[in-house]
Amino acid sequence: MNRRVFFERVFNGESPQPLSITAGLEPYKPTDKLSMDDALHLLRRTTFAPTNDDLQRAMTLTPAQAVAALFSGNQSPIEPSWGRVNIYTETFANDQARQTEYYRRYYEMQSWWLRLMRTSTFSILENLTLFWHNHFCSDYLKVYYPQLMFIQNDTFRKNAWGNIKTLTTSMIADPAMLIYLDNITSIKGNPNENFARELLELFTLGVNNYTEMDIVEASRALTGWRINTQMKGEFRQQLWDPGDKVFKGQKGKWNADDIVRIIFEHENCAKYFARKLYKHFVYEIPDEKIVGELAALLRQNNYELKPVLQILLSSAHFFDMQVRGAMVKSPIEFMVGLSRLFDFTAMPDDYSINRSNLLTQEILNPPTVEGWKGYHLWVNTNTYPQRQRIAEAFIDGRRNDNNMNFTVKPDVVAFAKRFPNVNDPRKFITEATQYLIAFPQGTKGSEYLLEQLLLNAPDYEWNITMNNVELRLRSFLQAVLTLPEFQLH
Amino acid sequence: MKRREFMSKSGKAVALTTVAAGLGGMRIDALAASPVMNRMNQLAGDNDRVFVLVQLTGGNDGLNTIIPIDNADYYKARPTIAIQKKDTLALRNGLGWHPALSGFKSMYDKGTLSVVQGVTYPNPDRSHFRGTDIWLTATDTDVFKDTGWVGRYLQTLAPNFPTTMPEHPLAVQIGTSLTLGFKAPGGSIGITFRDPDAFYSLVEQNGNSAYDAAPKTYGGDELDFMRSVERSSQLYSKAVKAAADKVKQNKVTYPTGLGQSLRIVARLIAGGLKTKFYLVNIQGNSFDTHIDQGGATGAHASLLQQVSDGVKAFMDDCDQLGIGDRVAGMTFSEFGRRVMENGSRGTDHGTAAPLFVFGKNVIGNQVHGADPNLTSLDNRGDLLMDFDYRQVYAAALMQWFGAAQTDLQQALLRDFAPLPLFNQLSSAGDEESAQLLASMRTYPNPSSDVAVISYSLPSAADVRVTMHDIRGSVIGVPFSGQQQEGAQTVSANVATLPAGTYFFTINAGRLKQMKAFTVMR
Repeated sequence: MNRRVFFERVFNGESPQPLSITAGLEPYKPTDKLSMDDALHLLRRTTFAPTNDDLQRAMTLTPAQAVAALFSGNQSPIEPSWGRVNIYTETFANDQARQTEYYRRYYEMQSWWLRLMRTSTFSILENLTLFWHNHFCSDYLKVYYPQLMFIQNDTFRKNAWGNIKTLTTSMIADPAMLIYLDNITSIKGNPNENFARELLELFTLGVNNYTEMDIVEASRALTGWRINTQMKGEFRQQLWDPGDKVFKGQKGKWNADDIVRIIFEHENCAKYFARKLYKHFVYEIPDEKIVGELAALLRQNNYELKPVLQILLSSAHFFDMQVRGAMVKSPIEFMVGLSRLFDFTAMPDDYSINRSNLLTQEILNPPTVEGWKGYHLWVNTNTYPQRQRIAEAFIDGRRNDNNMNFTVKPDVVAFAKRFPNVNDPRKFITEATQYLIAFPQGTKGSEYLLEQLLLNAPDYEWNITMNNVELRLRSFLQAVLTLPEFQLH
Repeated sequence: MKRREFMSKSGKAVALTTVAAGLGGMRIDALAASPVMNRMNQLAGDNDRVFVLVQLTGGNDGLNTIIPIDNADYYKARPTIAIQKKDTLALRNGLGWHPALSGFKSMYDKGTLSVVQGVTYPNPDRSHFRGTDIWLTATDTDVFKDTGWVGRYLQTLAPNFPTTMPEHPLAVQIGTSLTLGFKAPGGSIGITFRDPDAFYSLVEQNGNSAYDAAPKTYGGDELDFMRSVERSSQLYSKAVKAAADKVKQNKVTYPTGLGQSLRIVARLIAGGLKTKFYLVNIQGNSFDTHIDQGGATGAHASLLQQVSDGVKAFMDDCDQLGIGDRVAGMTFSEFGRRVMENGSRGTDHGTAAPLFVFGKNVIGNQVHGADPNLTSLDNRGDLLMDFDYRQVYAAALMQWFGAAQTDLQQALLRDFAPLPLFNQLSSAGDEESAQLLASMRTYPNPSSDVAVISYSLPSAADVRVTMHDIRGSVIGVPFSGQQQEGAQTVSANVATLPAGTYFFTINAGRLKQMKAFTVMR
């Protein structure tokens, strides 16, 4: 079904038809090494964007081997020096000094995390860390203490592909979360419903899978959590409501662990996570049949994420041609991707951050507890041309906020020399375009890109040692990076 | 040399019509004779009305906007933030304007502004994002839509969007990210930018002119979407710039903040941009005044002043630019705030609140709805509903734009009785409709056994009074038959109904009005 038919159906009040890809979760070409297109697809969806090294390595592996290899990476990177300094004993000259230092730390942490994303090798780790940040949302404006945002981020990284139930349990005691959703104020006799509501609505079950009474009862069970002097979430029995609660039809003197246990007994919980993972890795409009199968796998695996995600990412469904290029790049994928695609190591930290902000995604500061909704909301008549101008300036080796040059420019000649047929302009265009975007160019697109490469020179004069080759490569690369195709992967 | 310079220097600049044509659409100029373009031209020619949405992001505190000056409960509930009667500006018996709203007051006194009290919806959601989505998508609390009410309405005007792009953008948001309200079934039918000149210079005007067809896959669908965004940027940045260039100077001086966005809107309208809807909003979540919101002065006061002065300057400007007759607008906010102030000299998320409609062609100088009742509150201590926000949208669509009933249903997903807010394109029935609404009372409200609605018929008519629930399902017809001119009373047994919000709808000849009431158990 094409988009138009799809929209007409929606417009006529029919519900959107789910994807109809016949391929399921069976392994994709289990004995073949990944082709270049397959490898690129896998790396785009899991590593922000493929680096050349990652691509070359992936092509030596079968789908299952490549996917297994992605579940590695340093889960204990070097931490910011202040990351675990106790917030209660740390002193500042005055409130102004504290505030200034906290903002500096948030800037440092954003820079630190973006660097991890840019420099990670063959790893899904930072992608999943960001996935969890966008799932169990907190923002620094409300949480205030940088250490607590750091500790939460560390929890996401250490549990990135671990047990979802364990991660959910740890969020109940997470200091940043306790502040962000006000559970730190919740007390027997006067429970605060904020956390209980989001736990059910956004973190585990999804709307329509609980009642308002379930929220009230869960909020009672979730009372009593405070942050101790060691910056850890701590349960205080005397602040907890010990009475009977009826939650999801089960009656007992439930506490936080009981609430998580009961939630995770429900199939809708598995489906909620399965759907969210599908939307993150495959396509925005979930295939409910696959979602059901993933949910069943999650339950069979007692909510261990890694085995289930590995099945999805090495499945024929994931590699189906239908979904190639069907994801809208987030601002982070866009900005981090520029560096990775060109092995560019000189992206200024402040620039990475302020451009992502401009494109409406500031890490550590999601707009609401619902996180970034993404998909079509990422691109509009404001952000789309902004992305184009950022990409153009990038290829020129220039910031587009103040037009200052980077310390070095992206090495476009070295980039071009990666491709075996660099001296044949038409073949070079095909190969470089294949690497940069998920859509092969037809006659018109190729002609346009050829014009941009040759800039009126006759094609027989083209080779990588010709005069002004850099100018021509930059012209060509700017043309590719400003195509609508470059906003998708 | 940069690629953009090269493109223009090499003489390969491509006409915009061709750009659009290359993207799978037809040439804009070739569409002139098509039914779609006819409809567009007709809209642009016969109905050049413009509607401006002013979003007060964060949840505006209604009780500190229109003050119930003689209500002791108000002063009891708000020991530190209440606006003293002597500080308010006179509105009418029992009600005063917040002192920062002198702009609104002068418009009201001149008959170019009205107040609608107690606007919300049944089972209101107190979350910012959900509440905002509900207002933008015009849905019930438990219905989720990824298209907006404006987008759905505009799609009825441009049924072939995005295959065929209207000549000018149908909706414009002054901002950085596009509102969900402008999302149509065919995609984002509105555009967003902060400044016409910056928008123009941001957009690559040359670019690629000839795309290959997108593959027939989901990836291809998304590529078509992305191309439509690019096409909108290219096509509309030029149209926007052209309009802004025609009117370089505004006629009045605007205040900072919101006023600066409205200043751009006035230039674009006067410059001939055929846009039907504009949206401007207060930056951030400013109206979310949980702490230290202030009273007659302070944080909330300065926000109100920003809105009131901005809108006043805008309408004065429109007047002097000769477009005042065809511009109207409304304010909205995702919710009002709790009656009781909290422990931080602020207010928490609440429910019903007043909103404002403005323009030379609003039926001005009116306060619709009852004064806020601070003694019968919901179980959270929040105000009960007087009007559904979609009754205001219905008025904008039907009275202001002359939308057909079917288009209204498309936009609002079902029928809502419009409040009498705007001078219609054809004005028959306006006054009688307003009389009927003004006469409608429900009591006791809340009810538990029997709910009564009283009203006064402007003339004898065939009348049908229906009672329905929040989904619009009819649950009873307490009266059906002929009634004479003058006072009427109809009662309904509600003893078996679960607690919640219900409506009486009166259909009297061609008049239709709706009134909410609450059942409590």
